[in-house]
Amino acid sequence: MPRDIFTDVEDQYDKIYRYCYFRLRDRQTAEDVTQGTFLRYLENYEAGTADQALRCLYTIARNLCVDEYRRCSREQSWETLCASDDGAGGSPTEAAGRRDPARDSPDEHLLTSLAVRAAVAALAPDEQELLLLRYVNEVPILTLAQLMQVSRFAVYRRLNAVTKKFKEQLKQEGIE
Amino acid sequence: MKQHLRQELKNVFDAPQPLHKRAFLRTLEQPKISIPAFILTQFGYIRRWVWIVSALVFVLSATGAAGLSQDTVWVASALMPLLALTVVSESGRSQNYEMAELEMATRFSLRSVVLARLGILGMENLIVLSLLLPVETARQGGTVVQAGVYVLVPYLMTTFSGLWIVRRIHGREAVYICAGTAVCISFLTMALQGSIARYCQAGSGMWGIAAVLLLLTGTMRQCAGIVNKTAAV
Repeated sequence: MPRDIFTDVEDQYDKIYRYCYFRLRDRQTAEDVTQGTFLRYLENYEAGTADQALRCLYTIARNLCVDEYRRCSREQSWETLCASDDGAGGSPTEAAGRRDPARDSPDEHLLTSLAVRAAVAALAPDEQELLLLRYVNEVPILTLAQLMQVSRFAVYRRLNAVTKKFKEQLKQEGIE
Repeated sequence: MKQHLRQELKNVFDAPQPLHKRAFLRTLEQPKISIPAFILTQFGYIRRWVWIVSALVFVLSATGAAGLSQDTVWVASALMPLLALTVVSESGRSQNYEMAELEMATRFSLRSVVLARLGILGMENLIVLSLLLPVETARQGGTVVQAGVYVLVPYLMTTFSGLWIVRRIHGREAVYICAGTAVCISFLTMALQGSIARYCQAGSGMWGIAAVLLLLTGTMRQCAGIVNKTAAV
């Protein structure tokens, strides 16, 4: 049974917003672009399958983010993430507060959180984007392939390479 | 990737809470859907056993009766309540599973959903009956009207009584009572076939036609009642 994005529109809104925020690093602009994405999707596309809708949404969001870069000329790098005044990514202390209490102590969790943050920062922006789309927004591989206009196998290879690099960075930070 | 690392990634990529999400989502219009597309979506929600039972009724009525001593048309008559039961059980599904209230708040109104499903099942039963009638007429040797009366009376009796029950009794009990009624009508059809045949033939079959028309009107009224009731829940 084909499902459209409106079966879980709130969830999709959060994911697109997170993606836009990652690209723009500004809460208000990210929200404007997210809303613009949904409006443009509704204006131009018929209801299709969930995969098609997801691909359209991410494509529109990416294009609108690029337009926004051009308009404001304020492309920012990942380095600003930790210093963002919006509390981007939540502080490591906040992240430690969201830990699984059964797993480790607050100190250990804080260390893990900092290590993950540093490992992500060491990746290139397109690698960070791939991690965000696949592991945080849980975009299916097929949709990612369509979005990146490569084969599914290419996505798998790229994802494995990025994950490996990420884990190596974590190892350097002392996290296995 | 390990689950705790994924969770950490989610924390790292976390964005501040959007401020105008609720207000925006409230203004968002749902995309339009055409009536045929909507009806097509409803096909997927009708349970598989409904189609299987309909196919079985058709196959058994058309061919399986060859091995029995009774006339074929009476076997078909006895199986008709089973076909009718598929419509009745689907019509009250939302209430049986206590989902009516939730379905009232969904994208499509419960009324449209019930109407579409009743329409689909009605059409499907009509097709089965239309295919069955020429077969039964050819085997029985009577007229199409006669075979039509024999087949339609038990079918409409079950549909009418089933829908009447579904309108008044809620929950799973309604399905059990409908199933019991269908079985009773089926047995009565088999047991009283001689008497029914005499009544149907009396007055050039006028009694039979009158019964069909009466039951058809009653069934339509019950259908309208169910659709109106879902709007008023």
